[in-house]
Amino acid sequence: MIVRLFASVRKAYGDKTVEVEASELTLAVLMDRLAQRIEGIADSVSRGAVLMAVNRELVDPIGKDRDRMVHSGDEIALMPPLAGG
Amino acid sequence: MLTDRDRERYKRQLLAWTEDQQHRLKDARVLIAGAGGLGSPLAMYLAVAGVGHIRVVDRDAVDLSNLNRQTLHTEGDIGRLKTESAVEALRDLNRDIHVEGVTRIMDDGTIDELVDGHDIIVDCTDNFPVRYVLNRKAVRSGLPMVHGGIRGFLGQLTFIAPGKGPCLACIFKQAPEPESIPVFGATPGVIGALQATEVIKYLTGVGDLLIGRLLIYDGEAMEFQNIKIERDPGCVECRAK
Repeated sequence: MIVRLFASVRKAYGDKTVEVEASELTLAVLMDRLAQRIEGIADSVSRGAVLMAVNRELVDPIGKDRDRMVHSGDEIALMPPLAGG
Repeated sequence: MLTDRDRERYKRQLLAWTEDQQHRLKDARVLIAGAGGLGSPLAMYLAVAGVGHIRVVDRDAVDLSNLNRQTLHTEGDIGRLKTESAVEALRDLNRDIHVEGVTRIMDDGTIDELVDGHDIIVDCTDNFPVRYVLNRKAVRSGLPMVHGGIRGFLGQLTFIAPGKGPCLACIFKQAPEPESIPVFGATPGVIGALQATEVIKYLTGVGDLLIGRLLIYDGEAMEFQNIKIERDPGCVECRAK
């Protein structure tokens, strides 16, 4: 499962994507796996300082969408708000 | 009423919309928050399109390091207030409209005076604390706001329609960590031009606004994505509105 990273999340991880070894899992488990790879990501997502989108829809992987299943091939992205102007 | 000069000046865009719609642009009052990377292309496109009343708010002076992206300002403007050079540049583009610059901090104490009397707010600021001030004002007054943000090769855009779609605080619950934001001029050029498109669509009534959608522009991949966004029933800013 591939998760695309944007902006400061990409900078923190050092790559444009992170691969999680699984064909399907819940968003809560996915967040646990990502937290092992990207320092501070669970905290940033829980505070809303980083957003997660699945198939072009914003999700709340720590709150209401934690039990939602995601599968290989789903478009998953982690992105912070872009503050510049 | 459009003048003969208006009809000649806007001849090519009067092929895209009617004289009545052009008149709506002429009557419109637009508040531009920020005369930087986003505010420059946005203000220029609104001015040349004939938006009749433009107020630009910024508190800074022009610096050499602004000039890689802030196309309203020139080398000769270094050290001047951005509002002064912005007004001058916009007047050079179109002397048939009214342009005003206000050098002021935008906070909860000043925002009513700065925004009241305008039809739409355009968020061209470079930080989230001021964006939240603008969003709060938009929600409280029921005013639409076009939000834009950029970082490096990435940009984001959405149309805030209070009561109809999510507000900025529904989408972005917390500001990102402060950092020195990478930026080159083409990215705010893209997003600022898209913000101008949304403003013109709103004022003329043409097309479908970017309500309930967050547009993400990725210049490295050269992709645009629409992300579906919804109102947050627990939003601290708009839940009761």
